[in-house]
Amino acid sequence: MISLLIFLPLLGAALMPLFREPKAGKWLALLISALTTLLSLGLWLGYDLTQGGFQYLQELPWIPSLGINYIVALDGLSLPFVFLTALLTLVSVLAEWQRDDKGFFGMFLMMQGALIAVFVALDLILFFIAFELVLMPMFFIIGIWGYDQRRYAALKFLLYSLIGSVFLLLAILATAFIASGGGMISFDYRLLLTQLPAIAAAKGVLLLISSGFLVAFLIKLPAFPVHTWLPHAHTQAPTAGSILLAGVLLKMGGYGIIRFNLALFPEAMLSLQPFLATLAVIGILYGGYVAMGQTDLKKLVAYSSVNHMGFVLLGIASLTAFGVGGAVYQMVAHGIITGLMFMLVGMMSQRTHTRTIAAMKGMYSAMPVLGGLMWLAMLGGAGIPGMAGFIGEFQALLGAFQNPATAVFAVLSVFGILINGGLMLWTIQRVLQGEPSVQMQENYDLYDLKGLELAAAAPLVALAVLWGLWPPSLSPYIDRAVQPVLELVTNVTKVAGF
Amino acid sequence: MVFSLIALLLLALGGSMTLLFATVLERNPVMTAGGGLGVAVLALMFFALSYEQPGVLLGMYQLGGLSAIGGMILSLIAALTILGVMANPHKYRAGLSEIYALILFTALGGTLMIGANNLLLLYIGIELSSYSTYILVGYYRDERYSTEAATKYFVLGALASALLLYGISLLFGAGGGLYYDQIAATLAAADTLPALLWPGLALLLAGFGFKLALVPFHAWTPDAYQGAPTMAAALLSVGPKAGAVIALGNLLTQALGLEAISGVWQQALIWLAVLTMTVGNLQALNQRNLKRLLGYSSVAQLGTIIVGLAAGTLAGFQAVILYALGYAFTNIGAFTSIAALRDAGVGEEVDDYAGLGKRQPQAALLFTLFLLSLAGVPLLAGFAGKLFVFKSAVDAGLIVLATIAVLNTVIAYFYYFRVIVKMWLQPAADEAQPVNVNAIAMTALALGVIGVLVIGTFPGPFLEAIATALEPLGGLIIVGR
Repeated sequence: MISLLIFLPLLGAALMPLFREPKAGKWLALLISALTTLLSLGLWLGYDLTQGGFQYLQELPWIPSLGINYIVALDGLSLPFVFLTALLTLVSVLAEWQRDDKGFFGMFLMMQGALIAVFVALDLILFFIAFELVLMPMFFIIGIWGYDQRRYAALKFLLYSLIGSVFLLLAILATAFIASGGGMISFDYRLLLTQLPAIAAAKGVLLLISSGFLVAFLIKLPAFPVHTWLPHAHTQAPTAGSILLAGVLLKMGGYGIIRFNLALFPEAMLSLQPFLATLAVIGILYGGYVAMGQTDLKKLVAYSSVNHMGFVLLGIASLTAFGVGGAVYQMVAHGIITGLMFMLVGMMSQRTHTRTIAAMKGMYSAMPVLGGLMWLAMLGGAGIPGMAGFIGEFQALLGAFQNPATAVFAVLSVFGILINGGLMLWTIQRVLQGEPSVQMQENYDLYDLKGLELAAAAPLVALAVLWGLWPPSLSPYIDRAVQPVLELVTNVTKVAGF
Repeated sequence: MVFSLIALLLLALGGSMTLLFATVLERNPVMTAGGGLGVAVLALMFFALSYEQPGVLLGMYQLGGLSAIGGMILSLIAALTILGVMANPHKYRAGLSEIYALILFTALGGTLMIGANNLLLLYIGIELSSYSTYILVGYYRDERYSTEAATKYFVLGALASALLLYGISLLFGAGGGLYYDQIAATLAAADTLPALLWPGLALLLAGFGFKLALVPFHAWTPDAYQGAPTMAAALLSVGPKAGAVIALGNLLTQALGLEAISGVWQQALIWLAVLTMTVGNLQALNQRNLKRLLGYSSVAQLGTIIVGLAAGTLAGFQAVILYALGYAFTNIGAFTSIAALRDAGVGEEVDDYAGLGKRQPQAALLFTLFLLSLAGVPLLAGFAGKLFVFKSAVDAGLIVLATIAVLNTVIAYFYYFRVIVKMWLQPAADEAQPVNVNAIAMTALALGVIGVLVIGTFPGPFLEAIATALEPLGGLIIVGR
């Protein structure tokens, strides 16, 4: 079943060049992304929460002589992201329905397959391959279909990610080698989890190896100071590219840290805790601060992502159940809300032919539905109670307060909430309130959301509210997966004499 | 035994016959090409059949196993090159049948070096493939660049041969014989290693360094690639190199596998690999001519292959052979793309490729896949080769070497992607027209891509076959350090 989620989109992408009719591409993309969304929802609902652990396991030999196999499964950590990937692909296809370019939709399907493979892979080499493969379609989506500076943005995105990947590859190879203890090398994640003492015994290189993982994931997240690719990539990417970039691609970073760094190198995480928390706080404060200074609406949303991802890192760095669970919740919420925000910004700039904040005034009065949704998304981004973003941020902060080692960082981060809230309210004031300028009203047709656009936005709005009001629909799954990981960490803390 | 003999004879006689009846065959170019291709494909099949039939020919040539795999790789290279030549045979003005004969001889030379069990046969194999490629590089004899390229390549190649031969003679003195096992036995029995061994080893490595274009012995490469007919460059970049690198691995492990010696050549190979990767990649960064760019890229690729040999393990050697196989598909594919596009009127400068994605999407897509494979993107052959080479280096404890190697792939991405960016992300120049690529060339490219994808996604069976072939060497290889 899981393999269907990976290979159906990849098959669709492979079939794309065979169509003569350019319009056929988007219908195929719609069909496949709708199918995978339903399928992933079905898998979620069918997940046995009482049993927990990895379910829907599928294991096939791939290169058995080198210990590389095709192993995929779902747990509470990967379920939300798999669903998010499928859903956001569907939303992206709907949001870009005016395009007739089959190459464009082929790239999206390829990216969807690779992204789902990232979240379900239980073999480290398989994970790495998927992690790398995500880069290619995104590179072309930004580079071919992006805005004016697309080439620069695409290359920057590629090279940043690549530098992370090469260290990741080295770290994966070294981890498997150390864990094997001279015996048969295996890249099976479950097997590596049983070899933790062997990994922990490699004291001298432990920090180095775990840093290899960490570098790749921090670049992806992105954390300060390796976040500089993000604003360019976001501003230059087409709308659907931004939605997937913010919605899912960044999540590979947080997911990776929890799945690999936390589980395989708990000791190293403990010693890196102050460092990570510092990066997180800088990301929160600096991201919000820089976002304030932006004149381009899309760039503003991009920098606010740096702020949001800071909370994710803070939650993880707290090494508490609340914190890590909150980090995952925050990632999911950010995927939904920021995805919505990028989509609305894209639709707005399509109508106004500008992304400059100063030129967009009174959008609410000109387009009440679009403006109203934007209002909602902005408030969600500010983290008001009742929307998904609040739960995540609150949990992450709470977790950080719980751990004395990170409490001071949590105090500092509270100012970040203030900055971010102010930013969002100020943006609402500048963009949504008032009356649109005469020049804009005369020159452009400021029509409100059409049926299809509304359909693209609807599931995101619904989920942002659902997961804001009713966390039990999401958090038990996350907690179920995060608990065992944190037990590993607490074992270490006990040993370390905390 | 029979199958190997048939395969070797096919290459040798096929080549000779094509040469002998050149004037007759010239009247029917299609049949000649078909004959050449047929010989290469038949040889490939017979080598495959001989895989499970080990044996020794005249005491100095190993049959089956490793030499069968080497023969398959080389015949494959010959077949793909001939296919590329067939796409536009008319531009090889100096005679068409000869070019097929020379391609077959290059393959035969490569096969001989891989299977050689004896230093002299090794030398003959190297010379056979070298001489064939000397002529091929200068095949446009009325063009200045081609002649210049051939001259440079020949002079440096001859120097390399001299070094090799000198090294072989010293090794003969130190090891008391020309046979690999004889040398290994003598050295193992000696109380102290003979002093002659070290200059012999150094000269041998320098000679191989020239043939493989390892830094600092690589100066001839870019000029030779740029000046040579593109398909000759394709053959040059993979044929003799795949042969020489496997032959080098065979020689080092079988004759000089003693721990006291392997430590030395491992160290030398590590330095050669680091230099070759880094210098090759850095020099490739600013190239404007695609063939020069691929020339430097092939220098860097060879550096990466050497990492596997430097690991000094069975897994490393296994990775080297898989890498060579994938590299053969990839690099011939890349050069065939350039040749086919050149025939269709696209220049050889990187700038000429602007907007190619719009002008000729199919060929651009296939060329992109070759470039991605060279860069090492997952699920393509180049990635599989790199992954296993790096893995063998890490498992052998060579973490620093592996780190330098992976950092080099980042540099490499930069220049491969420069071409990809040109093709897909930049608009074509105003007067640019749609491009029509010859059907035979497209077939060759499609075959190359299939090979790249199959090796990239399912390297398992290939690895197993190589591992089985390497098993007999097992005892002679020093594992790890």
